[in-house]
Amino acid sequence: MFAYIVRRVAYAIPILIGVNLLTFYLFFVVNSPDDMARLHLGVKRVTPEAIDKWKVERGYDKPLLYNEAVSGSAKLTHTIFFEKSVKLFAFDFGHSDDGRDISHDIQQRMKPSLAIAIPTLLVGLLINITFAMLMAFFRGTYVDVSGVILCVVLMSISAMFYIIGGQFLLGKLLRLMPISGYDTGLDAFKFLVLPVVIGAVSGIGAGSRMYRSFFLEEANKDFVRTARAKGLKESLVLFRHVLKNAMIPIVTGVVVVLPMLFLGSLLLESFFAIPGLGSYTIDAINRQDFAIVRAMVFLGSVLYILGLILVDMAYTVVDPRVRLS
Amino acid sequence: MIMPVILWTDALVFLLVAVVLSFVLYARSKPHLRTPWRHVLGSRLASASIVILLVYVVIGLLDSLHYRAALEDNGAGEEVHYGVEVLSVLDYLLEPLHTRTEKTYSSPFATHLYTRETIQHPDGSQTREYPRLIWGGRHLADPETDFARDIRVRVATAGLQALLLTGLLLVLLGVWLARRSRHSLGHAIRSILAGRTRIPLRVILLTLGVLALLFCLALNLSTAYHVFGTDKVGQDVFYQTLKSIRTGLVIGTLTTLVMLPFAILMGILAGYARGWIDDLIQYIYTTLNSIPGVLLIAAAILMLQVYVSNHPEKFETALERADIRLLFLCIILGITSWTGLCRLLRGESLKLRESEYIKAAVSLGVSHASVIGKHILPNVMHIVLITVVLDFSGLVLAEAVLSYVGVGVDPTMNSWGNMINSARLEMAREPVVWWSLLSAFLFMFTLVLAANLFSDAVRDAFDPRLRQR
Amino acid sequence: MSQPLIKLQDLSVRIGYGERAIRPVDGVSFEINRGETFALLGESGCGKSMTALSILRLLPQPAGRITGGHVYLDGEDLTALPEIEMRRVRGRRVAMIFQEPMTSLNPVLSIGDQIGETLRQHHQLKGRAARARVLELLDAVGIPDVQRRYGEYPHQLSGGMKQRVMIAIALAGEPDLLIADEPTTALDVTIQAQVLELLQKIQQETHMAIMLITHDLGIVAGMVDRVAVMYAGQLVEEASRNRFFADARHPYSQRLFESLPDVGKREHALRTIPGFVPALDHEFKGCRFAERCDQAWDYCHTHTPSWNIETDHQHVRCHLADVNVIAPPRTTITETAKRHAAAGHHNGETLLDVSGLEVHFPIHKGVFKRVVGHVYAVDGISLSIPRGRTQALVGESGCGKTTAGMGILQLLRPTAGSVRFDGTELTGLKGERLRRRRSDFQFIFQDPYSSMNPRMRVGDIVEEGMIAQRIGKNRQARRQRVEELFAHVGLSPEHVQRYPHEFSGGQRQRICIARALAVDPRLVVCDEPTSALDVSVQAQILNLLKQLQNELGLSYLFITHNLSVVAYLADRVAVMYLGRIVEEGPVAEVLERPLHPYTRALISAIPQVEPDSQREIIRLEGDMPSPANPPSGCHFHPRCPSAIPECRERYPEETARGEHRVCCFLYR
Repeated sequence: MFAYIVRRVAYAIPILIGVNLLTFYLFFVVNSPDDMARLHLGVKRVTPEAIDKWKVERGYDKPLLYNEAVSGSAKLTHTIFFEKSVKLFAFDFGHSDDGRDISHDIQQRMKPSLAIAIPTLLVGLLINITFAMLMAFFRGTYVDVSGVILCVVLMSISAMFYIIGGQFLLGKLLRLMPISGYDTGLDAFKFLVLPVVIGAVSGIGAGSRMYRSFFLEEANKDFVRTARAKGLKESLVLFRHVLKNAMIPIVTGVVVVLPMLFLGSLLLESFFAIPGLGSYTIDAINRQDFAIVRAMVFLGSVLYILGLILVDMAYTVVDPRVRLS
Repeated sequence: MIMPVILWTDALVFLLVAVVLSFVLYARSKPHLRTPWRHVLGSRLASASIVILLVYVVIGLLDSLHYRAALEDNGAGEEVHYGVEVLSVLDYLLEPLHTRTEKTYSSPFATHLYTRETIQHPDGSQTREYPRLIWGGRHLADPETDFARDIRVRVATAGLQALLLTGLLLVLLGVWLARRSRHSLGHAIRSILAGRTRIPLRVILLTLGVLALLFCLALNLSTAYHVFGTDKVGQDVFYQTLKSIRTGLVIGTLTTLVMLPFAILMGILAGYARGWIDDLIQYIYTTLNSIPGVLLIAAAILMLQVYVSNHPEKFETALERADIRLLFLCIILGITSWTGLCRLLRGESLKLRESEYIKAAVSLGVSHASVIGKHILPNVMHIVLITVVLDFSGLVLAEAVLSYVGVGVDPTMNSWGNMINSARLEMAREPVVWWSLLSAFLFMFTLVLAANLFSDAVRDAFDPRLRQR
Repeated sequence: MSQPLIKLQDLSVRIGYGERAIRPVDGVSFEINRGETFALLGESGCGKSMTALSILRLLPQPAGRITGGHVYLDGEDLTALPEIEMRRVRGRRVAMIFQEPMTSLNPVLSIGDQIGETLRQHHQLKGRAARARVLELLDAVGIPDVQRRYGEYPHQLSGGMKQRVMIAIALAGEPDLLIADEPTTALDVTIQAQVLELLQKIQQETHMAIMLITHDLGIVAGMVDRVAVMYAGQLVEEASRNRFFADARHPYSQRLFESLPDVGKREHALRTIPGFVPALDHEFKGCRFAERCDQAWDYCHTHTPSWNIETDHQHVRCHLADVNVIAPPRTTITETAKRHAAAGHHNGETLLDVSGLEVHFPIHKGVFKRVVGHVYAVDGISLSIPRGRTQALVGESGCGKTTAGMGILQLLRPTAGSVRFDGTELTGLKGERLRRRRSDFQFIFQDPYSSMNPRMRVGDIVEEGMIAQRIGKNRQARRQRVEELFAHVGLSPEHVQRYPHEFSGGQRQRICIARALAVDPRLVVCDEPTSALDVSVQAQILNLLKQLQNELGLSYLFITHNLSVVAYLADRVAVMYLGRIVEEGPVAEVLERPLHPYTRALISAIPQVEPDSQREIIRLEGDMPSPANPPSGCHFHPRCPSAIPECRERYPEETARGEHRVCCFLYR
């Protein structure tokens, strides 16, 4: 098991290198630092001095790949590639374009993101499984058919309308909870209820429908017939035999996104003004802060790969047929 | 005189139309494609969805025929000058909606502005009141008394027109059916009305009837009122949302068109060739997949912005700038979304490669190219088709989110995402400006729902695993 | 005699709705007494499984339902019971085991749990008592090391072991009736012998009744008391076993016997039943078998035969057995089986010479795909096939026989050894040169359903090889040849425009044969070409293959597990075990006087159609080991009843006895 994880981590390195090269190419080769400076400074104040000053302040004044001006190993390390891309591997994200410590920001903003993402995931999971089980139990009847159509209708509504509608209905009309904002500690609860409810509800359509198909897939297998031939009750057949097998894709599907929860939800956080990583990313995009975007790209890929490793491990837990080797 | 303008996305849209038409012709000759399509057409929900989707497509296509109108000639023999503004056939058809702008917000069917203004009276006094709209209800002498009657008359006219139109459609469908089934027209119409046709023509007719009613209502009402109100700068919201249709369709379809060749080629190659080619392709898509989609799109769009702002000379008009951004968005969305299809195709090709009929072809000495073209490609096409229709609605929804995040289409372009984004800021207003959101919601929801129902039917018909049930 | 245990009365089942609903069971009546073994015999698609499922009311939902008739269990009508009551019958009074042990067990529950479930449901046994009983049951079905197996999952067991677990689940409820639906079809002969023996042993101990559903006359002969033959949703004959084997009355039953291949019929074409089982989605008029019956006359096509009672409780649904119907004088019945045309190409010249062929698959592990071991699928086999002759290669699943066939034809690259075809070494050929050569040797696959591209017309499928090999001047010439080939393999030339799914299994296999013949091969490797087909259709294909060999002088490498096919068709036979040939020689020699203990066990395990043949089955212990990790010394020694210490040390070299070769220390 340990050897397996080590191997998987080793396998992740070329992928991270690829991600890094790609972002380096996008951010520094397609457009030179000069271009970025010009964009940031606006057209009016653009003088060569201002551009140089902007670059020096942010460490973009070095050559891209190879520094002729210095000697020794510094030829390679005193470059934009080394300072901005290679250092990411040490999780050294550097400073944002307006001078803030990105690593510190990320640590700070992780908590609110998780405070929304985890309850949303759990509540959604519970609702979806229940709905899907109901539809599977009544498969082929009108309950099932109308459930499926309801799911299609629900998944045809953009997540933004769920948020806007929810804010309007629950926050503004009924005044049940604050429309947006965030607080630390236990006070956060009242701010979290609305986003969590909306987050979970917006996922019902797609989620329940998918889980229903997992259930039906298992319900048509031979061993379910064996279970019925034993004389088991239909509920026992469904819970013991169907659910247990259908949990394999459900659990692994959840596990693979677990690490990504750290990144938070772009929409929920920005609509509800929650200071998490999702709104951090959006702000960075809107401010055109390339340093933060770069850092988040790297962090995102690390978490994605972590998800892949976790899902392999999850298989060994939920599926007796799979053994890591 | 007009000068046709072909934008990048226009060209691709018409290429796509050509591809779809040739696919239809191809599918007609192949029973393994014809049978499932017949299944799709036989489903009531699906055929209603197809009608709705077709209406959207027609609007989108009309909006893809661009031109620049000639300026007023000020003398004979002179060179013709064309206006800077690029218009589409849809703009021409919607001329009144397009040009009748108000000062600022007005609610649907309003005759007065939504905000109070200080009015200078001839007698020198000033009052704060809601001024009359320039266009909305301008034919009414006294809106207070005439409004309700005017609406009633217009709705009644529309209802009548719609009824006539539906009747006409019924006869047309009847003629078509009678010619196909070689029955009398009366028999054909009776079987349509009784719902006895193989293709659910009654449902199609019903859908068409509803659409005809909506069309006639729009025709009668939108020429006199702003049926969905006006936005901050006084533009008709109904016009905006109709213009947004093209954006949504382009994102939903061109993205797929752009990524399809890559996904198919790479997926089949990886599965068929295996070895290091497989490793390489897997590496490429794992790497692309590992970057969160929104961030990759954001990074690419930001870079495009930098590029465009530094090279203004390459883009003549604002529309061209917006268009290149739209195309780029399609490409970058394609790059983030081809990996899923590629992986599916790789898996299927791996499986097919071991199948006995491919082994048989190899043992007959058939070349690799022929094996891929004759055996693998036709047997994975259903996966491609299912993916394409399933992806469509997701992409339409994604456009809205991306525009909200600020990395979607150009802010000057009409799109549902931009409509939502600008309207969202007004949610805090008292009283609320809700009509932009509502119209964007209605049009988007209808499109996505129709697409979802359609793709469900397509998947049920084409997925062999589902068919066994 | 007391009341029968179970009694079916005019049972009818429909699947689907409307005009095209399938009627897999259409008025079936029979009885089974306590302690009796009753066989329901029939070809695929005749409705025998649906009959069994409808007894337990487990028809596929929501489409399947019982539309008429009754099922009485001890006088109680099961079709009238509410679902809750029915649960007390399932597993407790009537238990069932299914054809596919691989998929019939829940992959995520342990063996112990799955057996314990029945105990809890019907005997309220829990905890330690349940565990003890499960262990007892596992032991009773012959599973070794029960303590360890209790906690294991299905994927850790072999096919035979899984079927034993299924039997244990069925026994847990202590049922009065056990329905076994083709319990051994998915298993190898030696494992089949073990499972059948187990069923017999259990029946002797518990006196439960067994309803055995099978298509295999040999199994029927070996273990049942009474047999009913089902055809197209109806019973056509019912009799005691002895009566049935001595004097089957229905023409269908008679043809079934005659279409079985064996050594005695070598010189003749097999009697076949023309056509195939009719689809069951419409009403029938007249006798359902009339279309395929060589004794049918006009009357049969218009009048439905009744269920005639003969002496000794034999029932026959045939007008010939009806005293009220006067049959016309028989004209066709005396026709003797057609003799095969004398083969003219037997000049004994070697066409294919394989020596030391090895196909090893590396097992990769880790990121860098390090090779950590090999699957020794084919581990040094030598064969030679003369022109116009048939060499059979027999063995159980997993012995490497298919891999050997593929390796010989270079569809899999051999790791070592040489394959000389007509003087050319094939192992070194590559790319275009190999592709050109491929017209000389062709492959016919096991499953006619998956060996044709479902998206192509069958004419194009047959033509494809001709295009690749540049045979035929132009499209028209090729088309003409395709039509000739269709006629040659017994299909109508008009069929070329159709798609594969429009054909039955036997017809598809004919198309596959036409495809192979299209490129004028000299050697054809047939990989179990008849194992997916019903007996009556198998005979058609065997006849065709033999006829083609005589006409075209083809050489066959015939890969199969079915020794009676070998006896009928082959000139020489090689027996494979775990990647190696253990015995090789002329068919008569090997089958009559087998030398290797494995060959002897294999031959003894085949169910014989003669019910009285009191042969002794040589029981092999356990399963075939994994080819990734073959036992030291002789691969067969762990299962060999006559192993000597030396067998463990090294692999025995080949000993020749005339034309007969064997690898065993007993014959040094």
